[in-house]
Amino acid sequence: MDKFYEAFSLYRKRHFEKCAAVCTELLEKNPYDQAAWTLKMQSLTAQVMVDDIEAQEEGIADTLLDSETIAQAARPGTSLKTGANPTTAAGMRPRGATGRPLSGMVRPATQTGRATSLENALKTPRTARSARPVTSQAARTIRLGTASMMTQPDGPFIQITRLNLAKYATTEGIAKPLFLYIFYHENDVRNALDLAVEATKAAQFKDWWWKVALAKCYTTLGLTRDAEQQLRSALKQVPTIDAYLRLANLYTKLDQPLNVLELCTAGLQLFPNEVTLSQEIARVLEGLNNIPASVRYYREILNEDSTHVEAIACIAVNYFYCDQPEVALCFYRRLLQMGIYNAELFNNIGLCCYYAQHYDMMVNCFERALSLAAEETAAEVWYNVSHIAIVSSL
Amino acid sequence: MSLFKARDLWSARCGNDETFEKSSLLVADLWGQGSDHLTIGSHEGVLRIFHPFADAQVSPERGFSPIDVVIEIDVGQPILQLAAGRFISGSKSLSLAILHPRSLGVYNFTTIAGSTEHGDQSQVFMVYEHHLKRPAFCMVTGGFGGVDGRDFVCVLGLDGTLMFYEQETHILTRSLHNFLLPSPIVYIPHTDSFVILNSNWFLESYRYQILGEDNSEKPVPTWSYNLGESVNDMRYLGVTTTEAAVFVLTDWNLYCFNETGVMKYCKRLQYNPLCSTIYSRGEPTVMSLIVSDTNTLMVYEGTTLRWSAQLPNTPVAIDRGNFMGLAGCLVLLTEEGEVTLCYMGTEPTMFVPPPLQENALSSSEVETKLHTLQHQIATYSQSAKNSLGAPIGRPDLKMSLKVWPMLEGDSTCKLEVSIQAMTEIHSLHVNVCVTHPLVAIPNSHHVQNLGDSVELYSAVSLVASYTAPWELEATILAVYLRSDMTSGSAEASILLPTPLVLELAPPAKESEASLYLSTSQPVILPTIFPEFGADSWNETGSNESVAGFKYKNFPDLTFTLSVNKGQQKYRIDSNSITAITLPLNILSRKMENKNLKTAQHTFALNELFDATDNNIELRNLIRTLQDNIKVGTAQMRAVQRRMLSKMRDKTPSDLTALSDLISYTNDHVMQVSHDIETAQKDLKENCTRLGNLVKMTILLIKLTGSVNAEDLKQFSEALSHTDFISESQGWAEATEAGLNHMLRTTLARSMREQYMPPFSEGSVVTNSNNLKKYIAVVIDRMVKSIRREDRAVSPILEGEEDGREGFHSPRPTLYEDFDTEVQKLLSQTSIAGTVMSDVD
Repeated sequence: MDKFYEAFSLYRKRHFEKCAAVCTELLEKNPYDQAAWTLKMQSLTAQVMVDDIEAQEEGIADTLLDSETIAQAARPGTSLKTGANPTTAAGMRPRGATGRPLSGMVRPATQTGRATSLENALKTPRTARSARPVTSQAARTIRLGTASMMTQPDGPFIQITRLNLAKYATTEGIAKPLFLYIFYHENDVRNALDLAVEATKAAQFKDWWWKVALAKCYTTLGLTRDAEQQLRSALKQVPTIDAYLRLANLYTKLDQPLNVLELCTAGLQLFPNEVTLSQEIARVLEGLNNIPASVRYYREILNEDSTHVEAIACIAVNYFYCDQPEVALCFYRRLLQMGIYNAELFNNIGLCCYYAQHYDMMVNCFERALSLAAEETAAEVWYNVSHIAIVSSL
Repeated sequence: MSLFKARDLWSARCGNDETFEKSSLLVADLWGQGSDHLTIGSHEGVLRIFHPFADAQVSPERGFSPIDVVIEIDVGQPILQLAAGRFISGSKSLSLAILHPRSLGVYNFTTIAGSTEHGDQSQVFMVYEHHLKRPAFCMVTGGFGGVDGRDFVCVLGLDGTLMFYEQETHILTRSLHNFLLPSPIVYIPHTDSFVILNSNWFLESYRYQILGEDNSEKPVPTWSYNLGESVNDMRYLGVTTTEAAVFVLTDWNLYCFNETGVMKYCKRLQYNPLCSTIYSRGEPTVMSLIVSDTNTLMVYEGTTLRWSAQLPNTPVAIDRGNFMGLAGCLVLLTEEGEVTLCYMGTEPTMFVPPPLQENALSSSEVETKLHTLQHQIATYSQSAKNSLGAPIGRPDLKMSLKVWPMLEGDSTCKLEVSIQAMTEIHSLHVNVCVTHPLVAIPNSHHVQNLGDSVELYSAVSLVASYTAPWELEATILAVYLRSDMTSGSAEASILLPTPLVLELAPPAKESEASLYLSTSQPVILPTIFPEFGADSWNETGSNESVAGFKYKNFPDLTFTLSVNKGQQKYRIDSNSITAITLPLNILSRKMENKNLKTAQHTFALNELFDATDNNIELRNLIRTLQDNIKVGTAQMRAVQRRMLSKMRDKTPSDLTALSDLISYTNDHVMQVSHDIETAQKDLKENCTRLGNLVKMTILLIKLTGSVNAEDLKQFSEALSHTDFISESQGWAEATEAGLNHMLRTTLARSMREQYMPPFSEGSVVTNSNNLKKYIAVVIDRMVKSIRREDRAVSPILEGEEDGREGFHSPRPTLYEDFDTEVQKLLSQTSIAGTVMSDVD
């Protein structure tokens, strides 16, 4: 059995650690084996790589020292921060602590509270859940960096500082995995940027991949406008869903929801019915308090992918606040049947049961919610229980 | 996350400890019987062919039976990939091609029909074999060059070499440039070309004809697409006679291209795919099956999810096959060699939440428990409290302390702590606590593993200070972990020698402060200070009845101690009140049972109040300065932000003004920081002085002889926190809270006083009036010594009715009581001037 074949087979089966170990053996025999070197690099990267598009979270420093703000008080409907006037119709929803309307699903960006001043921001108690005070990186990215800090018995695999980046940038086949390794495994954005700059030059600015890579670096470094330029250019060359999503995230960060809508709509022309793009639109519309339009997009998502949890949850919330708890109950029940089993869901089902006057089910649901609830959620569940107890004079 | 679950139909296990992967599974109708065979080859070289439900009479519910195994044979070499096709020249029937790391073998088989229920007997034999010059990665078969009715093989080597075999003959070998890690390869008959991913993550298509032309050094791809990802799986499907679909699965996306490299569709996946397969339902749509790492099978039509089902295990390979009346049966192969046939049941298997455990108690049970607990609390007595903290059994360690004798002219004294372990203990921390201005170096020792015994040394010395030292006792505290990881502690104390802080001086004639003490049995002075030699007594003119002393850390501080044996009196004269504390302390300790007494219990009160004022002023000052620094730094940040935004402006503008503002702000912040530092130093000094005066006051009160010991203990506990400084709580807060509590409880004189507002937690003392009042009143009441039993200490609110008006009046009449009491007290003593002015 060929050792390299074995390593590659392990890589395909996602046994990345074993693969890296076999590659290490191969490299001990022949330190100049480029293929083994690249495979080890890829498997090390794959160990820590996560989908970083959704993980972008704004740090307090980004929010406060934001040099990209165009207007302090944006016109209604053009910013996620101001939000539109609350409608008086039946679909009115309460707002969360962030000032945005409540959503059916908790996502990275919906949780950050906006502090009014730096002093307040620094004073807020920090938990693993709240935003980190002074960082522009996503919480997950920070965790990724720890892979490089892990002590490896024989020193780090690659000494980034000793690499001749200009040479590797021109080596096709190594440059791209090397970039991913430096960016995701080592979390060394500066060197990754150097490599990307060299490589995009070597590719005569014709490879969209390097432009997206540059944009990733720029985004992490907070150079939002430069990142935007690179992504636009990449999209012009080869439109990819990945680039559309990254650009949409940038615009969300810049607080330009209308640009996000325009961009994603253009993306949907090229990639019809793409779930992630529709999802982005639905989220932004929800943030703009345009709930009916948002729900329309969520419905489209469900047509395409009927197991989409976020879409089901958001539609359910909409029905709930539109005074149709029975319909909301159907959606929540579907989530339960699909195997989602947590306190929030049981709490919501309990509330729906209450408003739909299924009093017999209600108490059961809340009991389950309480038995599943962690510290913070328990408070919210108790709040609902108290509300129901008061109203139904239990 | 899915509503449905794939149902098991048939499953078998292939060997033990054998390795399988994606290419180990082949589903094909090898015998041409209209139902498929499962062909599985392991990396260990075992080839197995199964024919599930071979016996059509038996119902499919039966599951696996031994006659389903057609062939199980060890071929001697690892099996990388299996393919079925017409590889034997002159034969139209299917044969099996097996790719080994270094060879490619083509096998055929014969079947001898059996007559019993043991089934048929099958044999497999090799027809021909090609030896490969390079290690193989995978192979692709098809009628290259538009041949019909025959299948050729193209083997991709691990180093990027394509080796073509037209049945028994080797045609050509061609190297691909730009190749590093092997990728899947597919053959598209529509355009007679091969699609492969190059090392730069471009998808490239090479025509067979171009590859075959010898003169081209570097074959030119007919089309290429910049995919930008490594490929997990690549499949080909002929959708119609003119249209092909190349299905590419990567870690994040799935793509579908047509035969000319135009993307048909693309979908971003929100999970990690493990394996996939594609098929067509006869319409021009591409159906794909993808398994995610959560063991969920997704069935897509184009990009639309049509079905999803939970799988029973984690497969590495998935395929679709037809078995005796079951078209479209799922074939799953796991890494360990578990092969399963499944069908997708349409009846949902809903998730059923586990039942709640009934741990709620009935209300009567809870009530009983509450009563038991209340009873326990009620019967919890003082004796029980004492026994709780008492050490159980023998001590864990024995600690003995020794002070090394001081030599003439020594300014430090060496303290030896020897610790002997009685049980197994580790992580020993020993702290040496002395009162400022004495310091111990090092003041903390750490012993990780204590053997039998250990000796630790600390040097105690005096640092410069305006305040005289007042306490010569050193406390040693040891904290350790026992072998069962519980912690324990031990404490011991020792007196340091007097010459460490004092030396003899000529007795002073005049003094600013004098303290008189009476005793029943006076003792001569050299007995009290035995550490000083006779020479020094003579040199300084001191004798048995009068002696002068000065402090080593601040020689201007002196005191003179004289004894009058006839009148049975001691007198301490000094130029500073703080200098008296130490002799008083020594005297009270040495003459503990000789009835030492004094009436001057308000002797140091005036100084104590001054120090209190000073303490509160300093803390107010520090707070003000902290506010200043907050404003300063906020301004700094604002200016820096402005500077940043100006620097990013497209049009450059003058920055000198901002630069000046920054340097001005910086100066301001630095100045305030220095001020804070100075104030903190002053506060430290003040705390030393406070400690000194508090100690003296406590000693004097004790020496009046009429004070209840319990009261005195509480009083000293309330006041003796001078070392403790934190930002929100200092000496003043701790003391005020403590005294307030005493006044409300043990020292309360009437029911009304029990309703005095308690000192609210977290509040900051900014005005010393209340505190001084409290101190004065507490001392007065303690000295007047009302018997404890007579005080209104009842915790039950008996006097509800007469307490009511006191409770609700905006300023409790209690305060007026206090004021009159304070004034009375002050008129008696000499401190009237200072405190009267503060009393509003």
